[in-house]
Amino acid sequence: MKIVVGGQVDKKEIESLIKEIDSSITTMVKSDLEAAMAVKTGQADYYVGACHTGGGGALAMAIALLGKPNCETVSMPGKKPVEEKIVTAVSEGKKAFGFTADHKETAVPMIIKALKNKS
Amino acid sequence: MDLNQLKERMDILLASSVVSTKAADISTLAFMHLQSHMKKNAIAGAEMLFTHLPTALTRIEKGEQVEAPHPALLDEVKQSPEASIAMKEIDYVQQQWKNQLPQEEIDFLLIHYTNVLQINKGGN
Repeated sequence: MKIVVGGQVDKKEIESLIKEIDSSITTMVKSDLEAAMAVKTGQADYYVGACHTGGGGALAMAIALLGKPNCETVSMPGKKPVEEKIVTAVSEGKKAFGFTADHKETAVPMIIKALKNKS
Repeated sequence: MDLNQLKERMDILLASSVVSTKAADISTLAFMHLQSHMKKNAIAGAEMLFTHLPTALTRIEKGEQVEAPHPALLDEVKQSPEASIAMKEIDYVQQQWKNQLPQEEIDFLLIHYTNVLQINKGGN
């Protein structure tokens, strides 16, 4: 599985969280634009990204390039990640996941677990 | 990021209707205003702010709301020497918007603007 880290903040920390969960996952850190293009062109299977509001800098470029139906806002300020919603989003075939930076320790494990259970 | 890169970013977001034309136009004006203040063509680390800004304005246009940022984060930002300049830039955005922005959105913009001003500190 290849995951590209886009979004705007805490990219290295998010990459480390992914690697801690499963070191066999191939990760790349790119700008939001390049990361969304990586998924669009098949260089990466999935996109994850963070910003302060979850849906702005984290996902805007992914929504623009991959389409809203392929993107899931996992968390926003005051709205923590919900595992069931992530599982549903993954089962629906969504490819890009955005969350707020302060939720990364919760969001990343939930996303990776859901993706691994799918594949 | 320079003005051409900003415009490319706005074009991508506009083409897929992620942001509205009004939001993209005001964000472009806000970028140029910040360029003028900084006396710089390229503003380092501006991608986050100028992706957040048009999406926030589009969100406001649609009547969508966000919760306020964490108070501790906001308090820290407000104590920054750049906070007052950031508020002037936000005031400019509000003038272009021709309406008061929701306080929660102002608070997030304050975080983003202050961050960019800090990154580019010393370049005036």
